[in-house]
Amino acid sequence: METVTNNREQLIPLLQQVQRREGYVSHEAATRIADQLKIAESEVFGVASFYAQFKFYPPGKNAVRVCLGTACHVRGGQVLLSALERDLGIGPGQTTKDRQFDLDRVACLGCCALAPVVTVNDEILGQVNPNKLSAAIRRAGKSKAPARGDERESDPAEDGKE
Amino acid sequence: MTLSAQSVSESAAVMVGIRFNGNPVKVRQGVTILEAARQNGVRIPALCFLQGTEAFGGCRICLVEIEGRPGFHASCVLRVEARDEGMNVLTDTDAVKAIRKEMLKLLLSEHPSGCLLCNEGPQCRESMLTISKSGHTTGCRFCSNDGDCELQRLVEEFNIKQEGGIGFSVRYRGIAVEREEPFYDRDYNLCVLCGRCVRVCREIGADVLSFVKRGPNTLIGAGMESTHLEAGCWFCGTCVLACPTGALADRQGKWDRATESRLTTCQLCDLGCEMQLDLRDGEVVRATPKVTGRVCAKGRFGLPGLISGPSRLYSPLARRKGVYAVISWEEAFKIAAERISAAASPGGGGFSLLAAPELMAEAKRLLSALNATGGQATLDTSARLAVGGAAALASEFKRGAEAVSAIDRAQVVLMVAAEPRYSHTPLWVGVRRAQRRGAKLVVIDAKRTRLARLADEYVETRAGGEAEALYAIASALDNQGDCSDGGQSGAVGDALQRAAALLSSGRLAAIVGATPLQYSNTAIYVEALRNLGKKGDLVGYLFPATDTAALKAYSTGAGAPAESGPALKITDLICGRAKPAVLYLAADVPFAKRPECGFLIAQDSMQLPEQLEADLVLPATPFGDQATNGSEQGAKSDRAVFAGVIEALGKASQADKSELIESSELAETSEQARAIARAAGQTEGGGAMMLVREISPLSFRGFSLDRVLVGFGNLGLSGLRIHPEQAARLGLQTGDEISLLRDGAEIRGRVVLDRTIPRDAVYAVVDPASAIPFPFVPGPFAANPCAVEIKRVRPSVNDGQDARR
Repeated sequence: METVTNNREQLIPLLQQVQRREGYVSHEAATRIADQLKIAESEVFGVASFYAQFKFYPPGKNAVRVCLGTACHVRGGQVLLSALERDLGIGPGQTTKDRQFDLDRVACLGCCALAPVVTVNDEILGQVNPNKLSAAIRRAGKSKAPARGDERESDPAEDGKE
Repeated sequence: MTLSAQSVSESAAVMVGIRFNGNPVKVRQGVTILEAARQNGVRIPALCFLQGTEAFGGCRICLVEIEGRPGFHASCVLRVEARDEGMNVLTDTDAVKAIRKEMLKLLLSEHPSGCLLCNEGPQCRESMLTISKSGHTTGCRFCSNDGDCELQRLVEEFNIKQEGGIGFSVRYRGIAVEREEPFYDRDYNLCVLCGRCVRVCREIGADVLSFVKRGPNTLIGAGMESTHLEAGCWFCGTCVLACPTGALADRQGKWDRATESRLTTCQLCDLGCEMQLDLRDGEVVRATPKVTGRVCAKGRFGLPGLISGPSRLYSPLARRKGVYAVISWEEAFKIAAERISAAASPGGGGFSLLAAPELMAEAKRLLSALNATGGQATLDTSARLAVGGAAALASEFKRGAEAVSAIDRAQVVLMVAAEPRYSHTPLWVGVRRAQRRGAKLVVIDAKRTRLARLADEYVETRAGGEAEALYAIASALDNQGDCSDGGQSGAVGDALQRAAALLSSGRLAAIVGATPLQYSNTAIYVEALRNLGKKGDLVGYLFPATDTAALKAYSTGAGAPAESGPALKITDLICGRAKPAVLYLAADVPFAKRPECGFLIAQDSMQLPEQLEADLVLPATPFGDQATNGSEQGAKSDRAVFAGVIEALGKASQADKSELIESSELAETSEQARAIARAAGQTEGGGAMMLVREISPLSFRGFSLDRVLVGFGNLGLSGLRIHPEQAARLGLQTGDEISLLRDGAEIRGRVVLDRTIPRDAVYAVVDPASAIPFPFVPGPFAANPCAVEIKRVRPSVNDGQDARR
């Protein structure tokens, strides 16, 4: 962050940098950005909250994304989302209590031929059904996959305690 | 961030000839179409436009057509240029009226519109005027602005009701009304996202508001799920006045429709802002500034309670066997005079008077009367504790309008430990105005306040290091020298250098906070101020009420304590070394419980702490009372109370000449107090955290307003303020009861999280009603700042309740 001058045009690049490095924009990070750019914290939050790419809570270990683009929608993406909501006990945009899973919906993943598509972390599950999906979720929950937010050092579950 | 009207007046006034609906007019180049129309009496409706703030162009209600150009133009943002000579602005065509109406309907599709469109409206209002025990609970009262709403006026102007209603399905957003904060409620279901509150907050307020989220979920908020209080709001209430709907509404008097209004001058500080008091049945229900932004939390939300609140005192009271009885003024004066003359006579045990600074002249008159009859008395004021050595500089400080114009003239503004939070906020409006015309802002503060971010140079010091930093800079200014060595200030040398360079770059106005006057090293602060005073204008800031007037009264004229003798020292009273037979507290109550004395007389406008156990209570009127009917209910003005006591004294006592002894030189005694503080040392017997004590921005007539007024208690000023990160490190959270230990003594209080506080410090506001001892009062906590050790006593009641998700 030190490399960036106090230029308010740098707000979004800074937010992206923080999101990439820490996996979410914490209050502390927003304060640092506001100090750096000499703008209000509320403005930092206002801009960040406009874009879906910025999160304000530590993310879960595994990202589950359900595609609801046209092709996936036609082939039952909504059913998959409902199944996941039931399985994980959370709605889209939320994180499970144990910080194992994030659930999000996306507009299109660009592999419409495989519809309906769900991704679990970097794994693309094509032509998936609720049973296959449950198995994949169980697998991901057990695996010792590295935490999301590549450059992060600590366990997000630890960070999450407030 | 330029204000259009000002930027225009500064540029050469080139006139451009344009036409409104064919009628030629001459307007200044650079003015907006909307302004030009208003100057020439042409009506263009507008909603998000707010005079004095940057135009936003969001609501599209002010659309106009321009002959020969395609489309519609928002007249609040379109400026008249030289090439627009001959332009014909059409404000009244069918097309433009239709599109404005469509825009309004779209706004209304997300706004509860019962009050706008219901056919029962007039009858409903009539039938509500019934006699009832409770408030008006009939009718669709979900908005307190009904009848005083800009949206409502637009709906009427556009004839929406008569011409088929909204036409879109109305969506109720179902957002919970935010009521948890002091002073005002926020019902964002009523919000039309005009952004006026965001703009006034950004341009003249504390800059805490912003649009958050997007699309149909867009809201106004302080960000990061903070409350306004957590975000550092100053509660000047300007956003509430800017709101065109009922989304933001004062909590107090929200449903009271005022029947009349009067003007008064606020005397809660020495800026003397003109305030409009809205009255209903003779009671003040609302106070608003006459000039936008010339107001602070104290004036805006404190005046109604101060003038008409339930804590007001109206009749003289005498305490007999622990029970208060209402007595007549005559009797009250008689008791006071008898007690005073008995105590003041030789061998009578002594009579002491504590008076608020603004009552010094009256107090002095009382002493002279006593003197004439041979009494002996001592006089002091708790303002001594607040202003200390700065009294000698009193005449250097600018006050009121002078202070504002000093800032308007300045090319560089310096603010030392002077965040305009809850008090003196209007000065900030001046600073922002100065910044817009290019003036530089230098901020010296240990606290990372909202000013730090808006300053051109922010000198961050260690907790309590402002005095040293200012001293280093002021001396560098004096001899063009180097100030990279900030001594004990903890400030970065480069920042000091840059600050000094900025300060010497143009005409200076220095806004100086009172907190460093409370520090043990106050002498160097005063010295630095003396130096600065030679370079530019000094503006006293965050001193207690009407303090600079009092300072002037001390150093010159009537109130100056001249004769030397065994002075009453306020510190002696506070720590129980002085035990007068009679103690008279004239609007100056620096005690939470009864000080040691034989008989206690208290003269004040508001209820006194129960534990004070005053024997005689004389109700005085606060200022502004003449505007209401308070004085008819039995309270007298301070002057009248003193006059009554003096007259009764004349009757009660026999002439028995003896020497009048007054308080000694102010500066001298405060110097003694500071010697005690120095002797007590800074770090001995303490721990790793520094305790810094500040003067309450809410102090008025010797007490802090949060003791007697609704809402002010929620500001958290009575707590021990710690940075959230430091609190987390210590395992503390909001509301935990902690104890600050030093040399075996302790201060107890509740944790309040505050992001502006330095991480190694605890900040506390000195208020007699809290358990925080004044600095300079001999004891383990005489030094300020002083090192303390923190220990958690009891967790907060809602332990773990506020954990997120």
